[in-house]
Amino acid sequence: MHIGHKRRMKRPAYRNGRCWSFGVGMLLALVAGVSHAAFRNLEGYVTEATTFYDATTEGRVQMHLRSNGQWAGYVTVSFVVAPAGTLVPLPAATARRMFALAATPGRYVQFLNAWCSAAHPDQCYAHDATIVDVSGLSATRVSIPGWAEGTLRRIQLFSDIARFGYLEFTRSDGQIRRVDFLRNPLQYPMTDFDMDITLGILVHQWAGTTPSLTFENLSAAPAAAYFVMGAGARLTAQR
Amino acid sequence: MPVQPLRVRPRLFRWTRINLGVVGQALLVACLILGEVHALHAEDVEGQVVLATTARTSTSFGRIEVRTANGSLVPITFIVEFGEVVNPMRYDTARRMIQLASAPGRQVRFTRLSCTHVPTTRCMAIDDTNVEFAGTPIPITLNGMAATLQTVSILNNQALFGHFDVTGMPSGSTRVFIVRQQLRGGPTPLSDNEFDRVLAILAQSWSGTTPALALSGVAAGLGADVMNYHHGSALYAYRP
Repeated sequence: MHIGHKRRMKRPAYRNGRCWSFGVGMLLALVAGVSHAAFRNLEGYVTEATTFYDATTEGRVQMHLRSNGQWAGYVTVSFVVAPAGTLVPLPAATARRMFALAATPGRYVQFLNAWCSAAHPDQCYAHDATIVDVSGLSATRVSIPGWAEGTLRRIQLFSDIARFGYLEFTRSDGQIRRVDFLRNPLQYPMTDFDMDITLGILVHQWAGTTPSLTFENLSAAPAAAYFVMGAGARLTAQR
Repeated sequence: MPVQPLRVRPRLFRWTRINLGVVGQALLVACLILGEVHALHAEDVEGQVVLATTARTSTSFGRIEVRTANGSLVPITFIVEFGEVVNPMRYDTARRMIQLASAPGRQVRFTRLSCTHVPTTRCMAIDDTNVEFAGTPIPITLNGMAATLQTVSILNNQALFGHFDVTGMPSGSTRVFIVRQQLRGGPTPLSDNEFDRVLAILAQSWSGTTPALALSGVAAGLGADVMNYHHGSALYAYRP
């Protein structure tokens, strides 16, 4: 009896009813916080781009948001490059490429899975799970000689082990074709330098300066539903 | 039975013949090397970009083709690895120059390229090469003062990433240096990441999509016509 009594005295604190209620309260607060500081999909025209930085972000764009075809105010998106709260930062090279692609006033951009602050809903952040998608009307012709030809539709970049991102174009029959920028180390991927140079060409799209893009030495997927740009492939921009 | 005399070449002749062969080959190799070196000239190329490609070789990444004023087409490769008889560029400098130059239609001026005209004209962007971009002047606000951006230069340089040239300032023309290395008493330099952000914005200039720029927090330089873009300065692109 004496020993049992001592055991009861040493009962862990978490088995105490008050501790459970505290934990449940914390969980509810967390859920409430997350529901306010939400992950959002943003889309609209870039109105301003700046090199502005702080302790955890580098580069920022301001967008005029579109929602259901209506203008829906302005929002700024900063690129997270160092741990910020619960947000995982973008790798430096990915952040650099995303900013290079998006930081153009007038460009139609989507930030998928951006994180927006609860206190300041007009301040959002691109982080490791964010996808940058650039689209809009384009007159640029995309050609894969012998395989497919069409008009540029979108370019997307993300932080992923298998791909740097992809480009989509629309064939004359309306079908959509995709070129993946391969990063998968188990195959023959593009290097970071390859991707940088490829992006150096792609960032100038939607500026009216490049009427044609030609891909060579791509790998074609079965039935040519999509193509893969790996080591040895080539992109050429020409007027 | 007559004995045939043994035909033996004189020692001196044998020696001369052997050494003539060795010396001849050495001279040939030397001439080839000298010829190759002399075939490369430091040249400036100015014109409009008509083609940009990611094509790579064992020593170069990327190539652009420039149509010069006299109508000739000059291919320029960016040397990033040893293997040629020239010094390669830094990886990051090559990446930035390619990003700015890979816009067909853009007006560029490369200085100190390494060029050959044998058998055809071709140039290499190397360790010494700088590049300047220009076109329709862009309105820019410099520390709150209205001015006009004329050119942007990217340098392959230890101390500077490059510079802007603006006109319309009270001092007349102003050069804004983009600081890469801190000198005694000078401003804190930009990091590579910061310069990449600056470059991303500048890369879109002259493409009609960046109607206006603003530059804030730029420090005064040593002269009235010199300013320094440093850590803490900021560049904005916006639609007025």
